[in-house]
Amino acid sequence: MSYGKKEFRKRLLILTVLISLSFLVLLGRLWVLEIIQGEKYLFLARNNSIRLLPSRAPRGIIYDRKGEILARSRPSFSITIYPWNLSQEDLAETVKEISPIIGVKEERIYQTIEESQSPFNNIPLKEDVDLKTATKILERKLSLAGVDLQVQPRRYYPDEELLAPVLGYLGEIDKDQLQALRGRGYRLGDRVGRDGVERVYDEYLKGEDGGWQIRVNNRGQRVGTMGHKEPLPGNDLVLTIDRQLQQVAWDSLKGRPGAIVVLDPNNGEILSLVSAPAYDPNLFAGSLSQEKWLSLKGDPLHPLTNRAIQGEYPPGSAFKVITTIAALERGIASRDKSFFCSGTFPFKDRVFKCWKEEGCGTLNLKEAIIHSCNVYFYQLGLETGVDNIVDFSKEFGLGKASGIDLVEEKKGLLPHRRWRKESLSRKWFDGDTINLSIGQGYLLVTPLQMANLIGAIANGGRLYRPYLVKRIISPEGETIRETRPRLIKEVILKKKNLDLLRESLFGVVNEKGPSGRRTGTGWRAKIEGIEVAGKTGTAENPLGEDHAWFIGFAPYREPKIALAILVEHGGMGGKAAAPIAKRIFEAYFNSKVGEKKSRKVEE
Amino acid sequence: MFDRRLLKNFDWLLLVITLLLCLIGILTIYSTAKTLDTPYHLKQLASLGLGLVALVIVFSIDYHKWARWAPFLYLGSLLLLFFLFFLSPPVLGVRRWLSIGPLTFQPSEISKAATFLLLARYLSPVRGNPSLSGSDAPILSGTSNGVSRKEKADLLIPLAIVALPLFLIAIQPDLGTALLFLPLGLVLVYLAGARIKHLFLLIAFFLLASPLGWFFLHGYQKRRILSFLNPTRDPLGAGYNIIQSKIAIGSGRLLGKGFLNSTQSSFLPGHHTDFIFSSFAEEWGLLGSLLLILLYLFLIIRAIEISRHAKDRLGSLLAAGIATILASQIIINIAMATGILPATGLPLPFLSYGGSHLVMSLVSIGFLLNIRMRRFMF
Repeated sequence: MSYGKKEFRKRLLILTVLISLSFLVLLGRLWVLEIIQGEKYLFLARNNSIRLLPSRAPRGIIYDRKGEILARSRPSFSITIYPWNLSQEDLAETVKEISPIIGVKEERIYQTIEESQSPFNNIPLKEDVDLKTATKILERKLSLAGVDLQVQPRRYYPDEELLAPVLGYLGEIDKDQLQALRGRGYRLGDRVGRDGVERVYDEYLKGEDGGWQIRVNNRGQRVGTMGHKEPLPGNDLVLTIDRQLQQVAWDSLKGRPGAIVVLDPNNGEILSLVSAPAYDPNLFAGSLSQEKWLSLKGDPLHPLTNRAIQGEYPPGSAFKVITTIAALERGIASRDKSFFCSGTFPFKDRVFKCWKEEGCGTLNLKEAIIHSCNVYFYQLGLETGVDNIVDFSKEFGLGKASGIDLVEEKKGLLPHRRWRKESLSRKWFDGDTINLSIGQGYLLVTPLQMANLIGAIANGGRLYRPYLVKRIISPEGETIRETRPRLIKEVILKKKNLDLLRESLFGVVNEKGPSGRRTGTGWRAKIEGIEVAGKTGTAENPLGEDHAWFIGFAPYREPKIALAILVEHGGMGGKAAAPIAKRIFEAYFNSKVGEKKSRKVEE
Repeated sequence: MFDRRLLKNFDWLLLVITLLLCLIGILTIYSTAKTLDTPYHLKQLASLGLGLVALVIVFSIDYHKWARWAPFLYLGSLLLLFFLFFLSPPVLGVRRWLSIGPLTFQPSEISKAATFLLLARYLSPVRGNPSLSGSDAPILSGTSNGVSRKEKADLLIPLAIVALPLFLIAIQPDLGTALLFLPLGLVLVYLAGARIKHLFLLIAFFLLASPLGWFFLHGYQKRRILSFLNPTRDPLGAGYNIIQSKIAIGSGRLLGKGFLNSTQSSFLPGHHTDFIFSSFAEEWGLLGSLLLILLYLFLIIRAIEISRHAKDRLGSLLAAGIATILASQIIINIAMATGILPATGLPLPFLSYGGSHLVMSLVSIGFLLNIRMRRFMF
């Protein structure tokens, strides 16, 4: 069998015939549509009788690590109008009739219609009306041309302000966002996440809108349904947050402004992330009034700021952890390194003070940490040098955003020689080193950075990327994405140095004096039966009363949780912050908030 | 590289028909754009300019050279598709476009051209040295007794050449474009001399392979593809489009509503892209549609004629491949607009708004001109 030109041409001819026949079929079809059924379609065209009535997809549910609901969607009624094919008289009549029912002025309704950006879509007149209003609308449906009552999902946050910094809130998509998200299924009028995980995971949460394809008469009223598509709910999120622990942390701040971050030092999962004061994200579920928005924005306590990741504070003595590590690792200090404290430290033309006016006497390194002696650390810092301190600060993530799955995380400020020169055009002085060694001066950190830092000390030097979303689950129940812990870096530390530091941090909370009284600055965090380690901080700041800090972890031998607590203008860290840590540790270990219950979700 | 004798054989008529079609496209886009803010017709005009430059580049270089470059073009286009899939964030949206600076284009369009080039080259008698031909040795006919090993490879390799881009485009998901690779592959293998039995084998393979690919897809990808295949599942998207499209076309009746007088197609998303035929038919009626379809038919027959008279098998197969792709797109697009086929979204050559597609359509015309011009050159 050979295949030559002749056979090729034969096959080409067959192809030509096939194509021509297909074209003939198309012409036949056009004949049917335009000639035989032309009248029918012309009629349909004149009445423009087919419309789409969208039904919005419910956003995915957000759960905490144990399966408690933190955010969900509830059904609500909203009233919309489709004015595009109504006559002037019909529209005027409808507007006049509906205005008193929904309590919106007639001019306002006309204005809304005029300003609408999307012709051929329903325009919302009033969202989330009560059942009584909805019934009234239904009763008068016949005289309300073009008006539709739609059931739409509405976001609901049962815990109100408790989780606002984690969850964020929703707002109507704006033109810029719409442009940036082109081609990803967003439409004008969509509500999108504006902050928190609602924003970061918006594309997973939003789902796909459905709706009705309906036939309407010339007064815009539905006469039949031609098709229906169920909206597809969005994917659910399972957070690393423990709602109960979050509640305990929130309550223990007792309304004082501040921030608390609790995390699992073994993987970076955030168990609690508190920022107070906060706002109620339910306020944003509908349209927020201008005054309400301004009052939130103008509040001197800044409830919209997430202090845990956006608040930048001097760490005060909590920073001595870093000074210690730098001195030990660079061989400047060891267990027996001792200095004398008389209560003051004159250096050049200045006098730096210890918090204990009468002085601490001669101390070794461990004692200096336990009593948080400033004069000891001034001298240790000077010997260690700014460069070493800065190196280890960087190693433990200061001066850099941690990469948590939230937006607009601040990175704090890690001052060093070059920075000093570039931004203040002055060279670095030893006085600056003295300030830095006790966490004062230019240094600024976020509570999240401090929690991550102490978490890394707890686990032996592993710095994890903190995260809030553990798992994303589709409506069908399949796991779409599972977050795996990510190591940012592993700081290699000598075991004996790490042991000494951790032993000292244990002492801060547990050391007893000769009389049996506890002498460490963090003694108020002590709990019988649970070995807590930590460090207090009392940060002077130019704005007023000192900020109170406590960073710590427990159990000392096999750390399960690490935390950072900041009470804005709370005074002494040992007094204001350490008791909060105690309550959180107690809640965690007593109710075994940890693993046992969380296993339920995993099964 | 260019001499007089070549220009003597230049197919002016083909070029004129092509430009006429482009002009109809721009006018229709202009008419539909009256409800939109964006001057799509001007953008399309710019793409036409770009496409003509591409056309000139394509026909100036001997198509044998292009065929020699085919493996690189093909690999490059696969890489682009790969890149598109793995580097764009895995969101629920559709990934069809790649941006390089201000330019946005669809790698699937490039892949279409690269695939038919490589396939035609592979199926031509003298491989590796396509500039010399003369033998019409059978490639796919094999011996009369049973399937030789050689013959198996000759079926498997074209299969692989087609299947790779098809799969990568299908998972974007752009099922319409992906399925275009099937008629292309089948027709070329058929014209290269394959036995009918083997063609059916190929078709059977694709039928069997498609459920297999299904397992690799995510839930949301499956849903998307399902509603592509069955628009009644999606009365708000495809289902709505088809009824609006039928209303637009039907209400045009014999003579149409006249230029700029369409009212229905504005209810149709994509009335300047995939559903441009509906806009055209509404304004120009059955008579206008008849004229348009005849223009298309002329174009296809011309391409087949070029295939028939081409100097060698490579030219023949290339021209036939182009005829097949163009014809499939035209037939499928109009069949979708008129509700014969489910609407999966596929542009109408030369008319639909869309830069990548217009440029690549003009590139294929460039190849036709190229092959015809060189039919007497030895």
